[in-house]
Amino acid sequence: MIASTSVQRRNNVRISGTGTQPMVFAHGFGCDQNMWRYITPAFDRDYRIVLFDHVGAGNSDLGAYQPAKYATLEGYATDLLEICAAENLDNAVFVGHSVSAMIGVLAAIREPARFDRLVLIGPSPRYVNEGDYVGGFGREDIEGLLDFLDSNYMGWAAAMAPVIMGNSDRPELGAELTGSFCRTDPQIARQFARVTFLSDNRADLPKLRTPSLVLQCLDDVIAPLVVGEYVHAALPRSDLVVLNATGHCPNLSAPEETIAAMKAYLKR
Amino acid sequence: MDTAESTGQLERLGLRQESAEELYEDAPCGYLSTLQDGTIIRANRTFLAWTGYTRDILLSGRRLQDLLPVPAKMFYETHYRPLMRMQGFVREMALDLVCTSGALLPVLVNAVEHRDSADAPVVVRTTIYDATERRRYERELLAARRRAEQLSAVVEASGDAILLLSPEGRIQTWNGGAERLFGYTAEEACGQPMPALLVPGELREEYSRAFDAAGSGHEVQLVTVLSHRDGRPVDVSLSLTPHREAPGDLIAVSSIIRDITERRRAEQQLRQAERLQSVGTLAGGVAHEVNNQMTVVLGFGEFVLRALGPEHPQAKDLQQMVTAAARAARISQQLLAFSRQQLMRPEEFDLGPFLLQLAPTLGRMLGSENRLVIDPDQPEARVTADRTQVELVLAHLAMNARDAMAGGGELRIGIERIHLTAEDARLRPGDEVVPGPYVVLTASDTGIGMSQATLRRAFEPFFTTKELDQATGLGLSMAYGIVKQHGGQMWATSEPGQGTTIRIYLPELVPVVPV
Repeated sequence: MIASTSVQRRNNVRISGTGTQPMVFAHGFGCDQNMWRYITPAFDRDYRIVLFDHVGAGNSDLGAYQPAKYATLEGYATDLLEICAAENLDNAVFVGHSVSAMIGVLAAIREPARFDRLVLIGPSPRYVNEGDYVGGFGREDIEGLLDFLDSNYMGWAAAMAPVIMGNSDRPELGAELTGSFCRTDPQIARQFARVTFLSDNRADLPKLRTPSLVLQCLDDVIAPLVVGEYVHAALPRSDLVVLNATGHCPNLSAPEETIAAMKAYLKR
Repeated sequence: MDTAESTGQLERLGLRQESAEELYEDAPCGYLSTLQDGTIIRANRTFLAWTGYTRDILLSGRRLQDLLPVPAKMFYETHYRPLMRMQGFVREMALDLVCTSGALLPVLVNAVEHRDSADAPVVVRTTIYDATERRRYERELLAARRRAEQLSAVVEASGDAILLLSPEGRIQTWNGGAERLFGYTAEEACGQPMPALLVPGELREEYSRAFDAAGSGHEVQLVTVLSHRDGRPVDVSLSLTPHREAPGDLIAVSSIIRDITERRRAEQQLRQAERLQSVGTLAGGVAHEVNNQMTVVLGFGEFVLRALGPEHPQAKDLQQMVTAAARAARISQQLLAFSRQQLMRPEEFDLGPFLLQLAPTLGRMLGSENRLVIDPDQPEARVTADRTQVELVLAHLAMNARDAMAGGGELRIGIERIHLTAEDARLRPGDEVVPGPYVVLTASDTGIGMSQATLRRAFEPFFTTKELDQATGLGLSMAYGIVKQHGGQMWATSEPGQGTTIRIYLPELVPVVPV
């Protein structure tokens, strides 16, 4: 059993909110806990908000990265459950974006008592097309993405690393914060991309007993509508809501619509 | 320089001022203005020329992401868009654009969100740089980095110490093999001068000459001794390879260091065993001849002595001759034992009870100032051996221990059973170790011990550290010969001041289990 403080440091766990029921937010590939900045204010009066970074992203402890452990999504699910144990979280609402939606599903299968409901934003159990299954991508697309990661992380300092600079158009962002979003270790990001886009968790979906909401964007190149419908069909006790928002991150591009859908579901 | 000044300068050169429109349209980079969702609302001529799109098509609702191939779309959705949304800009993002010809154009993109006075996003201004060449050399760099990482993994995992030294001889890189061989971590070793860390004082001059030779362009190989962190010596083979760059400046020296401790020990064992064997052959031949001749001398000597009678004036002289001949015969008998040419009368017996029976005799040999301890825990230890010969071996061990413990001490004898393996045989080439079960008689004394040089020669005939009139130097060599003749091994360990332990391995008689 790993010590609570180590878990909190490892995953940069941040707690806020004045409610009692926990609401745990897990970010997707390419981002960190900052991606929830437009969503959490709508829930912090009624819930205990728990934010964290996956190991390798944001301000997590890069030294905690173990290639073997994080070679499958189960390793990330283990971290999520350890965070729940360290913070004594039970009956939580889990909100997972993209790959973290599947991580939440795996965790809830393993320890159902930890979770009351799951909100799955843009989930996909399998990104690569296979037989009749449409995931949206060929294997060569995934290899192409890995090449892009390499190219972008080569110019890492310029594109991703924190840059201390003012932004006259966005004065609400302090200078110290600008450019610090979605930092990720290049090597780990490459591995995380492989795990994210090459895993196949379709067989896990029917095992989930926790009620869930699938939030699907109308036009999402990463998780197309057909995938959202597949997830909804395979998950027992799931609801599907298709948002008018486009893109893969409605929590960023359409926070109001996302919040409204979440609130409507949680009110039931 | 203000606009008026600049205009004046251009006029003097016979040039006209470029319009802002021209600067925008024909800049050496693409310009796009988009809405927050990526919809393109303005594009410059350069961008149109690069991609092949007409302005009409591009501005009819196309989004930036629509111009990307699938992998770039994935990156755009997972990185570019979230960052734009959260921080309002992206810098030097690598993307590909799909041109109307179907060709891909690698580009670098900078974008910044422009907001109105009410802080509402109005437009995203995007500059696009042709990165075709840059992407090509990035690929080459990435491939080179991967090769370097692979090579680095091989170096790190090597059992040999592989080091890079500065031209001044300071350690710059230190692999896992070096850590295992010398006990220092990379953090401790890097930056240190190699001689200060590893080379024993007396060998620094030799190392320094070798390093200078490498510095002047020669590849150097040497067999030497370096020091482990804990002070113990490590026998090594060491290479120094110079690395130069034009015009011949030394930039580094690489060194590969291999631990040859085990190889040297095995070589030494082999030499020792071979020497004992050749001395044995020679001694056996001479002893055989001397023994035969002494039998004649003794026989005739005693015959003449009897014939002369004790009163004869020369009887005493003759007696001296016979005594000397008897001593010579005894020595040659002992030499025969060393050369494994004794007549054996083997029988089966258990060493434990045999040892207990022999204990009083051994105790008397040790003398009253020394103590004999027989370990009480005795396993059953059956062997096939010549009892008299084994008794002789133990007697010699006891006498040797007595001589080593002049001020009083303890000789402890124990018995155990042990299995010698193929690895034991490999480690002691020349000893002709046959793997299998053995009974081991261990005799440890608390005497003055031996130096390694003495220990190496301890079993040689006529080798003794005692005064010549006190010993023949045949005791241990005879014991050694007897044990070897039994198909066994006799190995000794000793340190000056720490006593001596001699282990005698005799093949165990394994009982035949009735079927």
